[in-house]
Amino acid sequence: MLIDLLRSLLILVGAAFFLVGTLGLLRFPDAPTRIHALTKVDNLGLGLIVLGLLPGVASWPVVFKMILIWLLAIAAASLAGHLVVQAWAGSQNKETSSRDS
Amino acid sequence: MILDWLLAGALIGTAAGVLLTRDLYRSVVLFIIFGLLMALVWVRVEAPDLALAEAAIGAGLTGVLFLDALGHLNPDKAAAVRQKYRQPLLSGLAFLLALGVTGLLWMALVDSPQPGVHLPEIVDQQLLASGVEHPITAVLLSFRAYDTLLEVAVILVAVVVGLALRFSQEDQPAETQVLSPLLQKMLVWLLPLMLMVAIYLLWIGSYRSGGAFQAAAVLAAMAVLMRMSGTPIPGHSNLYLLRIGLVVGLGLFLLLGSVDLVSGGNFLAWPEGWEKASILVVEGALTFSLGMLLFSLFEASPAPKQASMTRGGGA
Amino acid sequence: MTWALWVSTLLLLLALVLGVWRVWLGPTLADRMLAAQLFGTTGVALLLLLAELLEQPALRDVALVIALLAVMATVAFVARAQPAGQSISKKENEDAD
Repeated sequence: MLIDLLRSLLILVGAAFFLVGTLGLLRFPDAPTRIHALTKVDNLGLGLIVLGLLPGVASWPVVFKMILIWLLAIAAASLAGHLVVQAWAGSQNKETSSRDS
Repeated sequence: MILDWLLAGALIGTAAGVLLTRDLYRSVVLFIIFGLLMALVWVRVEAPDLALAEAAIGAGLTGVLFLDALGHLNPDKAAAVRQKYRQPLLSGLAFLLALGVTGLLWMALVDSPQPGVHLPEIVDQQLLASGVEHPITAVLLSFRAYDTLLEVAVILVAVVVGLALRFSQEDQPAETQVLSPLLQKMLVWLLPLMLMVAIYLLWIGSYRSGGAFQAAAVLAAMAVLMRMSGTPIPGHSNLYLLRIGLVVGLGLFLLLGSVDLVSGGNFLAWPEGWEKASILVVEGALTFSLGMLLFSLFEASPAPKQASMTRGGGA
Repeated sequence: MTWALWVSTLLLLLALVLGVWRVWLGPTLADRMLAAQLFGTTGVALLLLLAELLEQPALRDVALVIALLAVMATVAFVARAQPAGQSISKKENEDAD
C-alpha cells in the first residue's frame, strides 16, 4: 500500500517534470537556454518515472532493459545538446564575422 | 478517452503542419514528430508491431533521409519549390485531386464489405502449423509469405534503380562527417548496442512483436550512423559484397521456399518439421538484406553542394 | 496506482502537444531539433507508462528503439544540413501560414 503510494508519487512527479521541461522549452529565450530544459528536466522526469515503474516489473531482464532505456535517453539528450549548441555557436560566429567584414 | 482525442488531434495537427508550412525544415521536423505520434497511435489501436516499425523507420530513418535531402537541396531550388505553392492553378488542381482521393477513400471506408470470415481466429487456429508463436510473424512469413516475398522484391528493384542513378552521376557519395569526440566515444558502446538490439528484435519476432523489418531498420540506422561519424564499415566499398548482400535475403527466401516445391509440395511452404528454422534463416537473411537496402537509399543521395563544388562542379 | 498512471500519461501527452508549438515557432533550426529531441524522451516515457497500463510488454521494445535512434536525427542534421550552408541560428523571417 505504502509502496504503491510512493510509486504513484514518483510517477506523477516525473510527469510533472516533463510538463515543466516543455514549459521551459516554450518560455526560455533562445536555443542554448532551451537545452537546459531538454537535457536536465526531462531526463530527471524520465528517471523518476522509470524508478516508479520498476517495482511493478516482474523480471530482471526487463528491469535491466528499462534502466538501459533511461541511460540511452540521457546519452542521446546530452549528445544532442552538445552537437546542436556547437553548431549553433559555429554558425553564430560565422554570421558575426561576416557582418564585421 | 481524452487521451485518444488529444492524440488524434495532435496527429492531424502535425500532418496539416507538415503539408501547409512553406519552411521545408519546419516541415521535416514536424514529419519526424508525426512519425512518433503515429507510433503512439499504433500503440493505442493495439498494433505494437506497426508501432515498432514506425518508431524505427518513420521517426528514425525517414527523418534522416529527409534532413539529408534538405542538406543537398540548393537554396534557389528550395525557393522555387516554395514558389510552386503560389501558383493558384496548380495548387487548386492538387487540392481538388486530394479532395477526390479523400472522397473515394471515405466511400471505400463506408461501403467496406463485412468480411465473411473472422481472420484473427483462423490465424490463431493455424498458428501451431506455422512453426512460430507470434501471429504477425506467422502471417508475414508463413500464411502470406508470397506478399512478403513480392514486397522485398519491390524494395530491391527500387534500390537498384536508385543505385543505378547514383552510379551514373559523376560526383562521389557524400563524405561529410561529424567530428565530435563525444560522438566518437559514445559510438563505441552505442554501435554494439544497436547490433544487439537488432538481433534481439529479430529473435523475439518468433514469439512477440518484432521481426525482420524492424531489426533491419535498426541495422540500417547503425550503418547510417557509422557513415555520418566516419566510422569505417567493413567491406563498404566492395561492389560484389554489395550485390550479394542486397539479394541474399530474397535469394534465400526463394531457395528455401522452393525446397518443398521440388519434392512435390507447394511453393513457399516451408519444409516439413523445419518451419521455425526456415523462417528464422529467411528472416535473418532478410534482415541483413533489408538493412543494406535501407542504408543504400541513404548512400544513393548525391554529395552536398560544397563538396561537389570543390571537385569542380557535378550534380 | 492506475489513476496515477493515467494522469501521468495525460500530462505527458499534454507536454508533447505543447512541444509541437515550439517546433512550429522555431525560430531557429536549432530550436526545432531540440524540440524533436524532447519529443523522443517524452515518447519514451509515454510508452513505458502505456506498457504498464495496457499490459503490453512489447511497448518497452518500442521505447528502446526510440531511445536508441534518438541521436540519429540530430547527428544527421549536424552532418548534412550544416555543410550545405544552412545557418541553424538564423531566424527565418517568413510569414507563417
